[in-house]
Amino acid sequence: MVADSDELLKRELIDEVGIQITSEGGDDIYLRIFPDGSAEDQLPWDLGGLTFKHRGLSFGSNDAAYFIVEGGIEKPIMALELTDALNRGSRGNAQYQRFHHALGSVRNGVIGVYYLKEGDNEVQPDLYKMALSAWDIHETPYIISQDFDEIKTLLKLWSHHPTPQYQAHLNSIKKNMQTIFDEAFERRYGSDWSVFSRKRSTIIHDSFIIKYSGRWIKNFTDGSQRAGHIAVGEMYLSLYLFPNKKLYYLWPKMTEDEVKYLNQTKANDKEWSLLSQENRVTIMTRDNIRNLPREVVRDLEAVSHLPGKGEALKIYNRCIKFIVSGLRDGSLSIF
Amino acid sequence: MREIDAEMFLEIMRVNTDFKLVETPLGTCVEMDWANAFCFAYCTDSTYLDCHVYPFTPGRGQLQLTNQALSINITGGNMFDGELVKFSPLKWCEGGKHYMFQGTKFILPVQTESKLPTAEIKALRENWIHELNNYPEIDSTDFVLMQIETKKKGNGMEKFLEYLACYHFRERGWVVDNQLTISYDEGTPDFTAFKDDGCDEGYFLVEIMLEFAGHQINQVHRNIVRSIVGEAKTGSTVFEGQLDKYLNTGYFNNGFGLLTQHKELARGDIGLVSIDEDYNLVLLNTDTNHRDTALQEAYFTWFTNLQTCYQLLNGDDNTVFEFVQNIR
Repeated sequence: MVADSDELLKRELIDEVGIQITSEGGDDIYLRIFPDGSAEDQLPWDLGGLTFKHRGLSFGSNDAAYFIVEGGIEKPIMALELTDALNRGSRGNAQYQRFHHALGSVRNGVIGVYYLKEGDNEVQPDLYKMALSAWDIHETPYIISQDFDEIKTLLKLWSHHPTPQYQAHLNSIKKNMQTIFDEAFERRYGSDWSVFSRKRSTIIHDSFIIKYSGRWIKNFTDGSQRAGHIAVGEMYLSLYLFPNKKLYYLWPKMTEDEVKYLNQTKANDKEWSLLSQENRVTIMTRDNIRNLPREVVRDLEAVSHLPGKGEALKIYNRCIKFIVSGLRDGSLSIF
Repeated sequence: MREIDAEMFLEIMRVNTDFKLVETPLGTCVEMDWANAFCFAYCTDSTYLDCHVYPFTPGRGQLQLTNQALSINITGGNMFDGELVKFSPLKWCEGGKHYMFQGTKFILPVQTESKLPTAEIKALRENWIHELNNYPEIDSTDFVLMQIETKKKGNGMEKFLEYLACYHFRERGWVVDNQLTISYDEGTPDFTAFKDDGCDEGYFLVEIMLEFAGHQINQVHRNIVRSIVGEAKTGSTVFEGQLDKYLNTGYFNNGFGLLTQHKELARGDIGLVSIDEDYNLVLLNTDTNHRDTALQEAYFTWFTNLQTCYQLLNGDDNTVFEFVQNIR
């Protein structure tokens, strides 16, 4: 348990990068930022906030953004999501949960920065690959950073017409991100995606992947649970690690009716909207698994409203082992 | 439900504190010495007029040394960064914010009315900084802005109530604070106070960290024998459930609700701090003692150590770290 770190990180940003920067090209760059407790960051950029929309989807709000003024209009050039998660006991998915915040800006052609302050834990190397994929797909830099200096340098070099120095700095950042991912991927998975898939609840096919998970309806209906955020993080992890494949997000503890219920009741929920409306993603439930034996369905029904622990976890693990094996050898399918 | 606006704020301060109301180029303000202004800004998250974009406050949890009662560790709070002290009044002073630790300050209530209060107050700050250029005898950093957001529940004035309770009990010889976390589950009480019956003078806990700037606490309360806790509410009068969480820890003798107006309490085991029609702070006490002697003793030992840490933050970083290592 730790104290709230929002103010701490915003102060560091202001002290180390600044509230106003004049680029080498002579452009004045300003900072948009709100104090903790303000809800204005939830507003879209055009209405004065720090949230970006893309194709009707509203992504998470950012902590700050740098902008220029053109014709009296504030135009964003870089949005930043800041976290002290590495000092707050976060080794895993809490890091992925916030990936989509800066992704919103990247999808709008605005540089996204996900800054993870150095701490006791390491940045999940997958984050670098996710950001690199987003960078390539959306042709806009998505930077995972632990160094405000490199961000400040980028802003100093920023120009309407990118200079060779600016491009070289960006290339250096990108190369560094790629190296971190490649080295970790070699270390953890021997650079083999099939090893990755076995260890990371993923089944890889030529044109699609299946990511399976023990989500249950309470994860989305109980406000005290952060599972909606976690599910979004996992979804973007899969989407951007496999940028050319369709993602089937499989939740065997849930039914089609439950997903329909969430579609009706959570239509305005930011996380649910991202999960249910992302282009390359389809949510699948046990109702979508063809040839699933009746006894496996019965077992899943028995644990579908229980948290994943104790006997319920054992039963679920037995079921998921059967399902994964079937989906791999073709005895089961989700089409 | 009565909400505190700018006019009421000034009147409440005039009636309940020793501070004067004065006219300034920016309007009517509450005049304070720098140490009192620091405590006010700390308690209420009010900001010094040092910048129009993101002005500085010593509040917002930056001086939280730990986030868990009975525990002092380097990574739990916000003050330490690795083996360095990141935030402390001394560090701020050394880092260029010396203006907080000198002279007279003016607390200016600023009422924002729009749905974009940050943009509204940002524009005001920019104008005021510009306007104060016409007054070479006044620095913009002499002003501390207390934002009153009319679009927020209770005008966002909960922290002002906390400050009032702190001020009231400090004047009666207690050590007071509004940012001492008990635990993640129990939360952070809006008001806590501690008393050593051998000490007459009270102080804000954070005043201990101002020694480096010449602000002396004559007698630090070391032999704490009593503690009280409060839950503040504006925009609502229901505080009992949260207050019970604090009282159930056994750390506190008495508990109070802090409200902007009187409320008939349905029970006799808790007290009330409220503001009457003439803006006087009214204390309704309670005799019920909620403490668990053994648990409270541990809590007081922890609090005494916390005070020592704060004292050491007037000096070099190593001494604080050594102390923390020794008591863990």
